[in-house]
This record gives sequence, structure tokens and C-alpha cells, in this order.
Amino acid sequence: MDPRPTNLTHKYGMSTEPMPLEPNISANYFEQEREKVFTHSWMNIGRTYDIPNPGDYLVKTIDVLRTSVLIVRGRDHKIRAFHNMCRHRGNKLTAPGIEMGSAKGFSCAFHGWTYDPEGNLVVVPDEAEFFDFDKCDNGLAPIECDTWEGFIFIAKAPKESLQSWLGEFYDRFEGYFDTPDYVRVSYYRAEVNANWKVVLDAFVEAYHAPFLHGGAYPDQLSWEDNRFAHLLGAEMFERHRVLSIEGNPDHDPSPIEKHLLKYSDQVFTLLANPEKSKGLPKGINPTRDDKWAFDINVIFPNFYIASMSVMPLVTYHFWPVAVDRTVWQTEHYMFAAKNAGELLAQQYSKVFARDVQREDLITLENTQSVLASGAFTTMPLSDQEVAVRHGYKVVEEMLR
Amino acid sequence: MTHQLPAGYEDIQPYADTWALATFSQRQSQRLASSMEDITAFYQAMMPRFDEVLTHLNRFDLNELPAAEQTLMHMSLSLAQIGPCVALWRAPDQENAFDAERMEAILDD
Ligand code: FES
Ligand SMILES: [Fe+2]
Repeated sequence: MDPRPTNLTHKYGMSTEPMPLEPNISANYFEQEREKVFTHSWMNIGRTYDIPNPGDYLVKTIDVLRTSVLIVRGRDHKIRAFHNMCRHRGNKLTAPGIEMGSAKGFSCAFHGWTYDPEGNLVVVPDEAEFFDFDKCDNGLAPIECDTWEGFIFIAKAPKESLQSWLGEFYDRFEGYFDTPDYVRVSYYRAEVNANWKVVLDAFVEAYHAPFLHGGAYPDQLSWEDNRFAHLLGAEMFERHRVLSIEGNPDHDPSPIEKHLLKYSDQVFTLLANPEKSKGLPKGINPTRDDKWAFDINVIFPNFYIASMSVMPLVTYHFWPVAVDRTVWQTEHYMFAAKNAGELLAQQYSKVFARDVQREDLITLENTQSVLASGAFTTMPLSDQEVAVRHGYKVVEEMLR
Repeated sequence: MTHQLPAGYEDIQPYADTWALATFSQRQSQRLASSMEDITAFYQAMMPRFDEVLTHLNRFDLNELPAAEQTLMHMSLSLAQIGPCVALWRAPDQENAFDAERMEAILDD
């Protein structure tokens, strides 16, 4: 008998009906998502280790919130987030294209108003010309900000704390991701002409792997014992979800992969790795299986942490821009390369992941381009696509 | 010569001018602009030297590679760039894939 879990859709109390396509093509639905989902969601915008020192800052455009966010570590070492918008006449405080930096304060290029790293307004040129004006009441507009596992989260109008929002995830990783030792070695961003859920969906099922990625993964995910890349584990929470994927223990690496694995134990590939699948926090390889290759942890709505047997941390972000446009972002974190062999393995990982993911992204644009044709208005989903279905269910419930 | 390799690597020296490239995007562009014949020739020249190259380079501090070793490192990184072409795609690029140029490499190292 197949030891892999079955009957997941029923187990998590979901209907097995085909799911409507409307949520991926309706501009009205997108507006509702903006108001009822993203406005209240905690969203990750970076790592605490990106801004280790007072004055270090990050800038993140968040189209779905119609804003740019400035995240700054204050002189008291506290991380704060603000709308990146001058209190005077609304100019953005950072120059276009700036995504990170370090500053003693933020000076607006328009009329020179200046804010300290804690968001207080400290300089107003020719201040006496203003009416009934007190600098103390005119600091930057704060945005809720908190951290977890080395990740910085912001929320525009949260209805609960980050801890409560994270729920089942909160203590699941026991600090596994909260370390400066994981160095960002790869960071890609692409604007994809598809709805954010269409993009996310392609990363929460393994059903497509043997077909779409048949060339990239000739035997890793689909082999005699698991032809259709069935899930090793799946948990659907109130909003979030987890999938575990197994790798072929008898995978035959390509010559270059074989060489790289001699010089580095961190290579982006899908590998069952019994040695590295043990002694981990309860949230990493939650099924405790030797064949474990990686986990997918979707932190609703748009953040996704993958932990793999071959590298500690991969993240994805799915940033909605419009009903049919998404900024997709992925980052690889590994232990810093100590030598040429490890650097080469990092480079190969970066190249290989890019190539594989380009197969996903072109497919998603092709999909979106005909979704509104009217030919079909629903999509039947298999039990293996339980996490896809769950995603629509959670959004639908929040819009109700 | 700008792309001089360390002594003992004369056999792969002819590939240095084309493939000793300092950034990810340069190596990606070179891959996409190359024919499969050129890519295969480079791959076949590099692969038999893989262990020697890495054993040699691993003796140095990554941040203080001498110029010739840096060139060898850059060529190795190009090998990583074209590795999937030979092992998997059997072409300089996949047939049906999102345009590589549209995937912005924010860490272009
Ligand atoms: S808009 Fe910033 S100083 Fe005027
Ligand atoms: Fe995929």
C-alpha cells in the first residue's frame, strides 16, 4: 500500500467540487482582495540581518497596498516601518530604485524636511512660515512591524498580532531560520503577467513536476516508486499550509551535479538526504521521513519558506500588482562559501533554479492569457492539489 | 594577456577570453549568445579538469585570489552557467521558458 497520505481534501473539510476561475480574472475580486485580505495581512519584507546597524534601512514597494514602505533600524536598535512618504506634500523619501542603505536620517529632496531614523520630523526649513505647526505632530506615518525567525513583517491594518497571525507556524521552527549564518546568495525578481494566486499555485503542488519539469528533474520527483510525485505530507491550517515533498533515494545525478556534491553539501537540487533529515526542529521535515527532500511552508497570503535537505532556506514572495500582474521574487540562503568549490555550487544552484523556474513562469503567463476566454469557468483539482484548493478557500472566507 | 590562467591550464586557455566573465549577467548573456557547438566544446574542455581546478582553487582564500586564479574561478562559474545546457536542455536555452532577461538577478555576482 502507498504509505503516502490520501484523502487530504476531505480530511481538511473541503468540498471536492471544481473551483471557479473568477478569482483569477475578476478586477472586482482583486479589489476585494486588496481591501479585505492584503490590508489586514502580515507580510514579510526582508530579514532582520539585512539591517543589522542603527540607520540601516530597506525600501519595499507594495503595489497592493498602494505604498512604498521604509523599514529602519533606529538608534535604539528597534526596527520600525513607515510609509515612505513625506508629511509635507507627499514626496517619496528615497530615490527611485533604492532598495536598501544606511542613513543618519531621511531628508526629503523636495523642500528639505528631514526625519530621524525613528521617524520623527527634525528639520523643517523656514518653519516659522507654517501655521500652528509643531514638528512633534508631523513625523512619518508608522506601519505595524514585527519580527519572527529573522524575518521582518509589516501590516497596514492588522486585526491581530504577528504571533497570532502566524498561529501554527509561530513556534514550529524553533529559531532554525533566525541566524546570520544563512547568507543570501541568490535573489531574482520577475514581473509576471498572471494573477498572484495563479503564480502561487504553481509552487504548491508537485503534480506538474514530472511533466513541466521532466527535463530538469528526470528522476528526482517521479520514479518507479512515486510516478506522479505524490506528497509525502500535507497540513492545511486556518490560513497557512505545509507540504512535504520526497526525493528519489536512487537519483542519478548529472556529471556536473555529481562533481559539485563532492565539493559542497549545498546544491539546489532535489535530493533525499537521510543524514540531513534528522535532528531538525519539528517544523522541518515534519513527517520525519528519510526520503524527505523539502518542505513548502506557505505563510498566508504571499510568503513562502522552503527548507530543503540540500540547503537551509529558500524564500518566495508573490506580490500582487494588478488582477493579471504579479511580482514574483525568490531568494536562496546558504552558509557562506568558504572556498571555490562551495562558491561554484552556489552559482550552479542559482543557474539551475533560474532555468527550472522559467519553465513555471512562462506557463503561468500562458495560462493567464486564456483564463478569461469563457471556454471553462472552473478548474477540477485533484487531491494532490489540496494546497491550491485551500488557498482559494482561505481567500474566499476572508472576502465573505 | 588579460585572461591569463595559471601554469598547467594551457589546454583551457583558448576558452578564457570568451568565458572568463566576472558577473552572472555577463555569463548568462554569453550562454544565450553561444551556439551549442561552442558550449559543448567549452564543457568538454573543462569537465576533465574539474577536480584539478577545484583542488587548486580551494587552496586559496576566496577573497584574495591572485589574478590568474580569479580568471580560472570565473571560467568555472561559466561552467556552472552552461552546465544545465549540456546535461539537461541539450541547447543553449530551454525551448519554452520565460525570457531569462526578464528574471532580474538582483545579486549579480
Ligand atoms: S514634500 Fe517633502 S519637503 Fe516638501
Ligand atoms: Fe514548478
